[in-house]
Amino acid sequence: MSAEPHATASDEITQLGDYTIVGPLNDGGHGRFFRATPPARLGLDDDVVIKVVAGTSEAGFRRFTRELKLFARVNSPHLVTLYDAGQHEDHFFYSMEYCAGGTLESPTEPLTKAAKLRAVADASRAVHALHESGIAHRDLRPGNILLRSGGSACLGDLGLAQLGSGSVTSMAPMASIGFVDPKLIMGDSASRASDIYSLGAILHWVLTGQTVHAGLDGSDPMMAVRSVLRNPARVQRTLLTPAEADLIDTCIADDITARPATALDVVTLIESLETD
Amino acid sequence: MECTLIPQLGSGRGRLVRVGTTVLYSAGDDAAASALIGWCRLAGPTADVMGELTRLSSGGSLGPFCAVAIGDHGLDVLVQGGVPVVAHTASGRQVLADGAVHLHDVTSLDLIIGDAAIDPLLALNDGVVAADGFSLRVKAAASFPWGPAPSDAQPVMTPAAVAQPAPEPAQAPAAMPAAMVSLTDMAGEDLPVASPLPVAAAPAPAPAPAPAQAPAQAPAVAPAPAPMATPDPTPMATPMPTPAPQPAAAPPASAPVPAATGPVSGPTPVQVKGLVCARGHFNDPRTRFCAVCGIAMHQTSFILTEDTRPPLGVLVMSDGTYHTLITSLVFGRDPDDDPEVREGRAQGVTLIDPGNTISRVHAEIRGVDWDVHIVDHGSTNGTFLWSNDRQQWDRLAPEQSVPLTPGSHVSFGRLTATFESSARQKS
Repeated sequence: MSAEPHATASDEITQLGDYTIVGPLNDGGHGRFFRATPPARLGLDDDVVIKVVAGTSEAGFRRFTRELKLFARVNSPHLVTLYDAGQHEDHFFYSMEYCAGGTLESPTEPLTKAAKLRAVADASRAVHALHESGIAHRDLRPGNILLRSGGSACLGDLGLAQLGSGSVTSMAPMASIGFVDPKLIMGDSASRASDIYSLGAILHWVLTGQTVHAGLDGSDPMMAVRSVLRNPARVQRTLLTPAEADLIDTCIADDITARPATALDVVTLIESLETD
Repeated sequence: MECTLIPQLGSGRGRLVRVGTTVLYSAGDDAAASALIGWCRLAGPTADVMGELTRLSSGGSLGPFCAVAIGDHGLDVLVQGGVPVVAHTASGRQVLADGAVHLHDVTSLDLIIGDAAIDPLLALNDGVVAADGFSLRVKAAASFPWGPAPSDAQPVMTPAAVAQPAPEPAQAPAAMPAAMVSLTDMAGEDLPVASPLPVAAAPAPAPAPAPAQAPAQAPAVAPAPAPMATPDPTPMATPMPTPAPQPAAAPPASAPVPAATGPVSGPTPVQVKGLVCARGHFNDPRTRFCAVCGIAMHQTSFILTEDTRPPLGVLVMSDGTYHTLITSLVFGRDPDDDPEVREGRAQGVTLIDPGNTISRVHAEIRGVDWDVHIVDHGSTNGTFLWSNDRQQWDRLAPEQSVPLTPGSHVSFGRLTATFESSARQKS
């Protein structure tokens, strides 16, 4: 699922606002990421990550910062910390906490099963906090779950689908397509239930290495979206314990009322797995 | 990568094609060229160009040709029949042999016949020309046009921990630059009060999963595309042996999310006439089975009622984005120019188009009652509909509304798109 382009080193960026760019990081799917040294005014010891997305107008920037603030004010230790937003030529950027452990999709070192489950549980806690603040995340995927050096995980920001993208109705970047509730593609609004579907799909992926859409081929986005729409999600039971399979099954249930009611319920269910 | 394709016109003994990120030069006869051109049009920019072409050309019937897929990180090149293609890289030049090769540090790819000059002003963004050869030039980092750093900000990597103020830009360190906004300081922002999202079909915030609230055989809470903008279905005389929908106080899970994450200008649902199935789902009057629950529609009373139209399907674009057809969609560089978009009856989709192949208001995917049409709004480079009968792209006449069937392929600019209707609407 790493079909996303990587930032190349050819860009001559040295400064964004009062941040000093150290170098490019792997692309997370929707924008471009740079590692940067923060200005002294923030009093941070560590480097930060700067994400850059295309965007121009003043109105667009106001919307962009407003949506970031809506995210930033949600109080959860498992949401990535955001610092500043800025504008540079025809791009917007914002700075956030740097998580040294990489992402759940590509961790800097191999994770144990317990660590993977913990990361999904931490992300679910963050998702719950967002829901309690009226925000559906809509772009949950392993590449968006960030691993801190201490072993805890946090949830990355909302995708470009929500941020400053003007009138674009919906987007399914390839990295997300195996994790999005197909009902969203067909026009349902994002909800607790659609995020809970994604949590189940992520759980399936971390435990089996496969998405719930068997044989999903990321090389052709159009075919991938069509395949997700045409083939219902299915749990690979042979690769899971019955408890794991049941948990995922309920998260991705076609009848949304059969899914766990809240993301916090998903946490409880995941933690009951761990102690088995 | 951005690339400029410059044809070498000469006597025009071959054909040069560019469709999106696919470039193809055919030196074969008309039949071979026609097959290749058709293939390019159909394949779209994201197909496995090299793999498919290698298979297609294995019999040798496609004549000599050279195909290039422009990727994010380099060029995939396939040469057949000894076409003399030369790749220029930072380390020198290389004549490509027959077969497929990936070039990642290439600066240009040339097929120059004789010494005829090429004119860089004749760049080919899309289409077919008769040409002797071509030069495909990679633009350096054009997709991300950062200028060089301002002259006073040298690329010095100062560790942040050094508290000592740097002497050079004396005004810098303390304050945040004017163009920036703090995301930790919420002062001065008129943010709406946050209220929790509704829980799916549950009474208030339930701590435990409460699955079996609705009887299993009646998915009346609509996991399906029924939009929930109307609080209750229009009262009608038809039998409705269904439990009434939830009272308005407990909105179903698919209720719109608060504006925080919703589309910036949410589409206004369209009212249409339709039939309600025995379980209360609103349907296209022509369908024989309910799109939501599959029940046969002949059990209804065939009285047309007006209600909010469910999404008509989804337009899946070749770049992997998709657009749900709730209202009409207008595609273009500046779709706000379209009065339907300005007045809120259609939703604009802004296409970023470095190649200038997209007009300001280019094409519309139009919801017409229960049908989906495509309309070209007089675009410069045209809007195309794939014809299965003729196996070719047909250019649409401007402002002519052409119906799409599920599975139809359309194309504008460098994008192709497929219209998918809801799987649940298959009867």
